[in-house]
Amino acid sequence: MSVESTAIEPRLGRDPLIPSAVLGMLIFVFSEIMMFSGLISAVTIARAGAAEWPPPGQARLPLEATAFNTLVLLASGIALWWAARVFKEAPSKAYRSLLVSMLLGAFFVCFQGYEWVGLLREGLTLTSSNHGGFFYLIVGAHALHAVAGLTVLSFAFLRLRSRRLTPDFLAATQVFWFFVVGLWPFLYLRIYL
Amino acid sequence: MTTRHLLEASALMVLGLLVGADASEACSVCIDPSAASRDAFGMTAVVLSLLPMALVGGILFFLRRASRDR
Repeated sequence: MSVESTAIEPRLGRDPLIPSAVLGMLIFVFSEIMMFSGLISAVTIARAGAAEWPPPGQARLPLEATAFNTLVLLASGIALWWAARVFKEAPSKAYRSLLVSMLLGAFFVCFQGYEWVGLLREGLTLTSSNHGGFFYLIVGAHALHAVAGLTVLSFAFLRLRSRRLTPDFLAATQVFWFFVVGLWPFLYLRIYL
Repeated sequence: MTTRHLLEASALMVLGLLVGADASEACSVCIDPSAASRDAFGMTAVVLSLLPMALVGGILFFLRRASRDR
């Protein structure tokens, strides 16, 4: 009696349309978009119901300084886009662009922290009013995402240095960082203006 | 439990809902007299309803295009 091989042949030559890492990150980002949409909806309704916004006696948010910081974050996104483009042709040359993206992102987070210290000194706290509550909740949630994004960027950078960075990992990193960068202008328009 | 019992229980439940229904006033915007608040609530409800469909639709569009280009 002959024993036939029952091994299942792997399906060769058929790559997924979207790498698993990117698809997983997209699903995660979609859930985060819904969370931030809920928060933006809440602040929109609160603003519509308030006689004056920000409430009288509350600190005003730094519009010009944050506009500058918004440009810095956008530049960070462009640097990452450039790094990914260079990576496709010559991975070793993406080193500088990725570093620039990380440094600009880190500057954004540090500058936000500096602004928060000033606002806290002026009396705007989480419990001082609806304005303060929404500001720290929404901008703080974004800052947490920015820190998480910087951590992922750092991993990508270290992997690039040790020549272990894969295109899928970089693409997933891009998805998350573009979400952090793309979300911020909406928050700036809704919270600061 | 027979079908008749199920129907009787369902009818009793519907009757109870009809008799006992009242405005819960759980939504702070629904009882807000401000038109601006109600408009903002309506607008954000539409956005929040359409956004998931737009996100899923976007990824399906991308997959279809990627599949066609292959």
